[in-house]
Amino acid sequence: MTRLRGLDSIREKRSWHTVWAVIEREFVARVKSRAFILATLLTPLLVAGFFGFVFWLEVRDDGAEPALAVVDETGQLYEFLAPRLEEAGYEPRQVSGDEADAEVLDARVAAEELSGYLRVDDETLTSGTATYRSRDGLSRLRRISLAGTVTQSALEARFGGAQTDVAALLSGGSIQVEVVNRESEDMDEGSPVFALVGSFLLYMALLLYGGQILRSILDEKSGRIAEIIISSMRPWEFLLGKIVGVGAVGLLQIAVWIGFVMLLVLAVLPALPLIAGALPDSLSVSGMLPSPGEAVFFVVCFVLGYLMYASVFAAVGALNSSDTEAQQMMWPVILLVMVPMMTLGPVIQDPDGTMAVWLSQVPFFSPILMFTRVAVGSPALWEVALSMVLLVLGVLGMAVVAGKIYRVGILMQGKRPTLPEVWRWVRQP
Amino acid sequence: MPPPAIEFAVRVSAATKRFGQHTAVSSLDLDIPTNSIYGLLGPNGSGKTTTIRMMMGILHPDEGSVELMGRRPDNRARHRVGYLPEERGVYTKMKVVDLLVFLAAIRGVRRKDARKRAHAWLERLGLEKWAGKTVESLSKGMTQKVQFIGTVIHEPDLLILDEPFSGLDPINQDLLESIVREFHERGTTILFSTHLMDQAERLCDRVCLISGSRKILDGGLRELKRQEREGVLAVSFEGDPSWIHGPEIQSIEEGPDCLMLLLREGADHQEVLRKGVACGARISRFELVEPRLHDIFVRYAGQEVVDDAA
Repeated sequence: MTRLRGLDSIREKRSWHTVWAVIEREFVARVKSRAFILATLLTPLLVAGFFGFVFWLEVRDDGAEPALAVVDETGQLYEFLAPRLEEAGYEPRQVSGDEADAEVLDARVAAEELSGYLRVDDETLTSGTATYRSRDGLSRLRRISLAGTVTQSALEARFGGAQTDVAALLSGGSIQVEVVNRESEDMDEGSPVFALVGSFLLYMALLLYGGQILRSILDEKSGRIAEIIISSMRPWEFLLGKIVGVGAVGLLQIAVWIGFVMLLVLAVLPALPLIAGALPDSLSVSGMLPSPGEAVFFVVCFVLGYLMYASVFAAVGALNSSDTEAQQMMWPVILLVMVPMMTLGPVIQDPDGTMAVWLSQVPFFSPILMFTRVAVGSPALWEVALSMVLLVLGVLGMAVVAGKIYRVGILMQGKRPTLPEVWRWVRQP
Repeated sequence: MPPPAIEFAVRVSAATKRFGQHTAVSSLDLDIPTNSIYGLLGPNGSGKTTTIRMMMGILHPDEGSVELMGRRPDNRARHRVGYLPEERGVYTKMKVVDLLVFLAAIRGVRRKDARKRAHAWLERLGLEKWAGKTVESLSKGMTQKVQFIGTVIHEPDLLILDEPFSGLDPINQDLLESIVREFHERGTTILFSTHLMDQAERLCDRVCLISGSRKILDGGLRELKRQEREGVLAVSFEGDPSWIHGPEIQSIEEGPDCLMLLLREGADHQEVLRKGVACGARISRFELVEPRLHDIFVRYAGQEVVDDAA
């Protein structure tokens, strides 16, 4: 008998193709659906369209007439101003003597020979103020850009020289943080933008794709399709196929979105000289991008977090027969995902604080919080490793419990089982 | 297809299944010989579906054991079975042919073969032009035919059909019945589960009657009927009817131009005849007739159970 059993288990390995059939069905059915195509392609287009529209509103009056006259009453600012103005997309030319007369210049502006003219004087050197005259005023973006140019040039003119790197000082400088009893090489400044965007994406993804598992199980229960399928494979194989299939859809969708953002940040933004000139270096676009290690860790957190919540949602789906019932039971789960989001602010501010350290070890919170700590700070390697080990153990435990609840619940209709009943299902071997 | 070498497609030995306080199946023994057409009969709620789910390895008996195709019901055994559950859903958003390919794939049929077979079956059942439509666009009858194709597309050695023809019109019912018979001729074992006795009588060569979670009796249909030959009387008479309400008679039904009297087990029909003559009834017909399955069932399971079933 034992020999026969051993033989069976070897042969059963070949049934992975049935799990594959489930994965494929879930994946194809979702990716082909109109909702998926709309959400995947339209979301980034809408976002890009929105920002593009705002940007266009700001700059629509500019650019047609880049010629800019500069009246330099100090006699020393123009050499610093000219390269910066060119960088910002102007065609500056210095005017002096009769040409610098206000009436002459106003006439040239009115005749559309010039977009405007900039007058700098001694006051500029001491306080950074200057005058700009044009036909239509100036968009906010250009005003900020021009003000920055004038201030930086003034500072350079006064303090510039071989000994002082004014540009570096102006960009804000940096502090290299070193911890006494830790190697400093794994320290980096981190990117709060990436941390925020990343944790929000994780939060959305866990609820979104976990919710799809729930939906799908409820649909199969009300459509009474499950019995045919689990007569050909084990319930856990069916659940595994479903979770992997939906997860693959999630990864694809996030990959498309991230690819789109990268395209925007790396290719489109630098192509717009105004933006590149207007942003201070500390907010430079490349600073917002994650390092390869952080990007990989994001995927790890997504996959493990998704498996965790997918299992929870699967159990909720198996325990209920209708949307309304399931909704009540979903609240505690949603609260579980909200905890890391509510503590996100404090964790970003103090990534090595007591709360951050402890919460980022809890399997339900670690996908989001440990990711945040890695993105903004530098938790010790053992902390990251421990939280991931705990998370994997949590996922395995949750999967076993969810699988047992699913096994019985998938065929139940109507009345929701009581807690002792569920406990009995879970205890069954 | 060579017939499988195993003697019994299904063996259920002393299987008991409880749900909490409720015992759904109580120490059931059931052997389904290979290549038989077997009827699992009983009213709703008698434990038929639970029994089938144990055979399919969906439920595990609390006591006793189940063998499917000569082994425990693992995936390998189960992939040789075509199971049409009573609760048979479909993915309504899928295309008909995709659904069939999926149902074949989860039983281990290769994709290319599955697609070919799906089209062949759809053509045979007159659904070819619906192959690319979504399942939700089909009528109820067409959906049932698609479900049936999904049950046989992997060419199973055992067909388990739970109330298979409920809701089908007579023409399609005949069509599917003929396909089932075809499978039987090729060596497939058929298990019908139904509460419709006349359907079982028409189709099955062996039956098992269960009621109240217990087996009442089982065996070949012919043998059962022969055993029960002494059980049913067809009578016609005029006059005092009190003699047919004696303790020997379990129930009375209207037959064609006569009354069908079901005798209680162990009752002597000669005693009934004597009483009839004694009370002066003019008896024109008094005949022992071959019982219908329905009569046998009523005789063993009792009247009240049958009322449930009807």
